[in-house]
Amino acid sequence: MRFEEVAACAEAVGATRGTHAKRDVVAALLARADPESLLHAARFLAGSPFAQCDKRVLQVGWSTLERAALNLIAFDQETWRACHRAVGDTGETLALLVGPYPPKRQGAQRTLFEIAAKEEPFSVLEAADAYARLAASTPAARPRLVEEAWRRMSPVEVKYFTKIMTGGMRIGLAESLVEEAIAKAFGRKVEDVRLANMVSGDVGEAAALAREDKLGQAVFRMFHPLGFMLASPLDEAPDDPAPFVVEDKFDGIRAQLHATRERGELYTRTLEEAGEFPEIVEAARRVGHEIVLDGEVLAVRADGRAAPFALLQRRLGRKSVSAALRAQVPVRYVAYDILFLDGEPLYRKPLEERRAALDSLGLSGLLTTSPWRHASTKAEVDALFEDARARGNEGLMLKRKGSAYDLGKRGNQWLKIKRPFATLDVVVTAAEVGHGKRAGLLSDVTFAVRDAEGKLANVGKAYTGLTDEEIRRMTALLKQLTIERYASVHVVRPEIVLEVAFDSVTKSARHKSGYALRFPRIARWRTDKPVSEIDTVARVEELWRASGGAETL
Amino acid sequence: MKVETLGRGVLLPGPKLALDTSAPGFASVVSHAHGDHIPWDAREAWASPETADLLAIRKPDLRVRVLPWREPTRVGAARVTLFPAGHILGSALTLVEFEGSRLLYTADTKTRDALTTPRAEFPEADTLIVESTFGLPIYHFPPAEALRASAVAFAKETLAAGEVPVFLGYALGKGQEILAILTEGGVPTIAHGALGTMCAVYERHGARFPTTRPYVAGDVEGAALVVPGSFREHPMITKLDARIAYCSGWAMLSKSRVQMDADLLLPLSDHADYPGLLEIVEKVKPRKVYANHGYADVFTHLLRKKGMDATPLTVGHLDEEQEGQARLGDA
Repeated sequence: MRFEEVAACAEAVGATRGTHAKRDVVAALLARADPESLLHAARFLAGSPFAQCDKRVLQVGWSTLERAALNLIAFDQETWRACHRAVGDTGETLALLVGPYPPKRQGAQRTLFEIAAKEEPFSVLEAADAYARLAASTPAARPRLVEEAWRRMSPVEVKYFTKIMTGGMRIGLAESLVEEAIAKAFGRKVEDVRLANMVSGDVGEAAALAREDKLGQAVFRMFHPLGFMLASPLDEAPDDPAPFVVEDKFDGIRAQLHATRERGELYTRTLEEAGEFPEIVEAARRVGHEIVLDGEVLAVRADGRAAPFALLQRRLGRKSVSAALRAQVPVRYVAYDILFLDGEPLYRKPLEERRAALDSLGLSGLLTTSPWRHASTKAEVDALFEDARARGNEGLMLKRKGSAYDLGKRGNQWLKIKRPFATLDVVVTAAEVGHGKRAGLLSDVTFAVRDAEGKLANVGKAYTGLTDEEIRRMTALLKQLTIERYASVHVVRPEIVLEVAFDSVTKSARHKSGYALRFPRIARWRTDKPVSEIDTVARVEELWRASGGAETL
Repeated sequence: MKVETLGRGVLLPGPKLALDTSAPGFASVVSHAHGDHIPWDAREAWASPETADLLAIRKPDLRVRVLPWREPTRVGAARVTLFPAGHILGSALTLVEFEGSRLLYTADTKTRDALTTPRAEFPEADTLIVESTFGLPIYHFPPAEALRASAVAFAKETLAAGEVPVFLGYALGKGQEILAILTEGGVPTIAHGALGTMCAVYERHGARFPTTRPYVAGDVEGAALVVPGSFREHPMITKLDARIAYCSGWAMLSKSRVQMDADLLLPLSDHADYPGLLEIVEKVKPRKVYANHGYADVFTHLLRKKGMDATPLTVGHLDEEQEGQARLGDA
């Protein structure tokens, strides 16, 4: 299959509104792909050069792309950068600059090569090969490899070959929609395709298996994250808790622990690797089995109780973790489920069987197992809730007896009881242009509460919670309210009132209020509320005390 | 000739001319009737016959003195001649002859053919003040015929699917051009009221919109609706089963799809694209080029790389994004 067909398909998906229509465009392409190309085409359309479980990384950054681009296009750096700023996407900028203008010539021999090359269309397999060579090459060789690939391509191919490298197709095609397209192309059940993709960690393999009607044969590969089973929130304990087992709900980092004797990795909910906890990974390798566990990374106090999340945060986002920091912020991994043991899938087995397998590992030291508790009345659950809070935990998890582990799903098999936390009414003081689908829209807002003197004091920043429609409306309004601009930041007249939700409050020097919100998100646009009625710093302080009063760390 | 900027316009202190602006003791010349070119503080100004008619609606208190096309006329100490600019009805390039030197001010201009405006004519001059709204190489618009064909095809497909084709284009210029394109393609149209007033002036100067009817709430059967871009979020549009075509030079970039929530991006512009701007410079053969609006910095940088004497004129100009937004409905 020609790479241009994949690129044209991506272009058509971007120009199509509605997920069904997008799915059908992709399905038509996948249905006519030859088996070998299908594997790669599915991955490419999902926006990735390799399978998800593949450890290879392209390492093609801005400097590589810019060097290659300046060798290719007939314009200088200043012009290239101005164009790039205007477009906001490397692949699209290049396509606009190589389409109408002849590329830079590079000597007679090269020109002959180009003429010869032009006649041979770039294939999907060649694209896959180009990515493979990039992943294996030295940094110095990369710009040349990128440039040579580009020179074989039409503008639309350049656009999407580059978008796949930079990791964002931005055509409104989520991987879940590619899965639906695979199902449609080969007449399979979407659920089966999703499961095969999740288990194998390769949407390409899922497509190949769907084509052969062998989705059930997807083989689990370790060291790529599986979808976490998620819990539905519950405001209070159920009247009849007997069908459930009860566990503490931990306020740490949910993480999947993959380990063999040779290797260990932790994956978080964003399905990224978390490299900040080497001691947990080392402990997991010493278990002596091939395991995939679901559990939580927690910071622990000297007395063994869980420490506030703010302490754990000091371990996050670090490239290397010093021995001193490991001593200062001791962590442990509390396992509560097991998905695979020595190559055998357990996620379809009932909860009790999985627990037995987990117990058989005899975890100890840095790896522990979350204890099971039992309650037969609502009052007993309430008592367990108070106990959990006293242990420094967030609340309770109720897990239905006999239930399977539903990969990547939120359902009613698992329920979570959290202390309900308040929201704050705030006013928007500044806004910033978003990225990707939100490029050109003021989607990132900074907001404030009022201090004792009635002045506004910033308390946080939120990126999510509004619909696209609301973001567009808010962008228009924010532009009217703009007083000053610093680069991409608009300082606005404080008139837009939002209700923000968050998980807890910590002290922070970053914001003028002296506090910061954890996981702030916009709950509602309060067009009904005047700015005079926003919350105060005193209210934030109250909430900070209520959420455990963690000091600045 | 000495050149200064004032607001979004230009002052020539030698012949005491104010181009698309006004100043005490200066004679104002208006290039065309778009709001950002009208000298709102002026009481008297010179303009082309068509622009004079449009100004009578847009700024009734302005006393307009008509400059006939291509006829040198004494304005103050200079000789001023207007040539078609190809931007909208009445839009003019202003040639100023003063003390043996010739200056051409393009204001907004386009080099392509259009159905509702005559093609621009570029006389030679020593000094050129050229607009640079789309002065980046990424702005290379597709051929006009292809854009017209895709507008008509989009309207017909949408109607065939039982939905309403909605074209977003500003009320003076783009709107009438879209009406003309669809009319020529056999698609009946509905003109929003904001366009209607201006259509009357177009008709007075020879345009015909035989299958266009005025917008009446609730009646959108069998026709394409043409409205200004500012109505994108208006219930009159959002309540319809509509497909949206965004008609603007800014539609070159895919990010405008999200900004305007459009089904079709149609880079049908009333401004010159980058190759068009180069073509203008080539035709005018100036010794000195000034660029104003939009990407003046980068465009003059590109001209200097070609060995020309070129300077950006816009002082304290809006940044790119603001410029884009300010003109979102006007390009």
